[in-house]
Amino acid sequence: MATVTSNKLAVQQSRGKGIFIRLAALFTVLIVWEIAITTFGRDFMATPSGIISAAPDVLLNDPKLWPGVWETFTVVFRGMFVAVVAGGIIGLLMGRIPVLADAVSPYVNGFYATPMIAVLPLITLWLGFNTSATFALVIFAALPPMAVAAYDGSRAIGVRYLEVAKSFGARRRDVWIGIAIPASLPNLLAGFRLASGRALSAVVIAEFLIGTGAGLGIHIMRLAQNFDHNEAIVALLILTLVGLFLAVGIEAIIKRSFPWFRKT
Amino acid sequence: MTALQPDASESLQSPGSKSGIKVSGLTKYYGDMCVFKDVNFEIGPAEIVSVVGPSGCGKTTLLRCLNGLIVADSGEVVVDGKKVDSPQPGIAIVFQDFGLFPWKTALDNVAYGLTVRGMPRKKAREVAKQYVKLVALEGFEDRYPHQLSGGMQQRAGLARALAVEPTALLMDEPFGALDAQTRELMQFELLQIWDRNPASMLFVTHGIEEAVLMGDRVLVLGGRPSSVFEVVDVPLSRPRDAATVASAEFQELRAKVWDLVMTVRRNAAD
Repeated sequence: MATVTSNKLAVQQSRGKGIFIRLAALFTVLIVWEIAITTFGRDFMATPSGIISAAPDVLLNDPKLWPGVWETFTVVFRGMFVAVVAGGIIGLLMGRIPVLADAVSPYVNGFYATPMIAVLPLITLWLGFNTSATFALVIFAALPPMAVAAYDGSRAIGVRYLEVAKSFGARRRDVWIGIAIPASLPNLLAGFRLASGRALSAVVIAEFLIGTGAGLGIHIMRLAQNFDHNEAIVALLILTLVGLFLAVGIEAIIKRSFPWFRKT
Repeated sequence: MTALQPDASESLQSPGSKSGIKVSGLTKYYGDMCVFKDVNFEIGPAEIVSVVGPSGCGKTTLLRCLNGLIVADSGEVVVDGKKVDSPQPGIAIVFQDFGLFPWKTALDNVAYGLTVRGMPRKKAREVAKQYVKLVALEGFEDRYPHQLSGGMQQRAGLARALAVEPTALLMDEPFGALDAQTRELMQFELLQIWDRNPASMLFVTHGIEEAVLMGDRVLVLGGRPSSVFEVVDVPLSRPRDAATVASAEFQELRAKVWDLVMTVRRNAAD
């Protein structure tokens, strides 16, 4: 019991130290940035103090910001939903059915390897210069990493689990829902992380190149072109925060809700 | 269908059924390599047969054939009068590495076999609770496997197997992954549980003492390909406990099985 408490204490202490180091690094960067721009930079360049003073105005009064956030993230989340569900299912199936893996894996890998920006001209020709094209690009970007991760996960399911299931007479459905999904959860999460990063890239790239929408990406571009760099960075930080949430936050939530997670 | 009660009075077998395990002419190849050839033996209802033999003699493969996880190339396994060619509801395995699902609590692991067989989750948990009690795991129902010691994990593994009320229990070196003290403790507890709920049991082990302590008979496997080299009867009275191990009769039998295993090993080395 004593060792448990002292371990907890040690963890808390190192966590506190970690936060201190992070804050120190952040302030160092901000100070160097501020001094460098005010000394050598040009007027329109963003500085930490400029960003902080611009933030309230952008967040509260910019009429295009929140509609842009809504448009962009609606597409991201819809696309991610399709990519995660479809990619997860395709990957899990590939892992459990070798014939399917042989048939499908070249395409999954091929799509994964194709630069997403290169397919955008084709997608816009087929779907038009609108959010359908953005939606399609998000799926194109996010589905392959999800499928590959689910494939790896379902191939790595411990044979013992399958043997136990079989010895108790488990049916196919029990194996799929009861074993394949929980056993590959760590891989599925890793895939989700990769997919969410690519999805955010895809949505911004699509908005830039389509150019007619009102999403957050295009809004950032317009702010930057108007030399409102402080404002552009405030908008950019929203993308960063959502990206961080998808990459790190979701994993933290899952680890907290499933105490067994690290033991699989 | 008997009531789901692990209590003393009630046997795990439905009366009158042709219980027991009969293995005849069992042969298994992996590719060109013959694992074992023409293995014959019988396990009566409420009888324990231990299997010993050098590593690689096919003990574990044999056990998997008995449950239908692996299908033998020739010969047959009959359990409760039914030929086994796929996993049967009347047969349960306890695995050396426990085989618990890390994402399920101890209780849900114990209930696993029941839920897989279609018992509603709530009912299955109730039944599982009785078996948790039987293996002295009360208070740990909500722990996950990684929060349990090896001995506790195997208690859960045992409870999971017992919960489906098997007529045949297959033990695949069940205490092999435990430390010496825990192993000894678990041996005696298993014997006590079995005394109250006797079933046909195949007990595969590396431990010669364990084989003698558990078994009504000890099969010594050996040879290339291996087969039943010798069967040693163990006429020690039950219930068996620590005093049994201390008896001269037990030590004599242990020495006899030891000699046989050594003979098999010497033959293999030649």
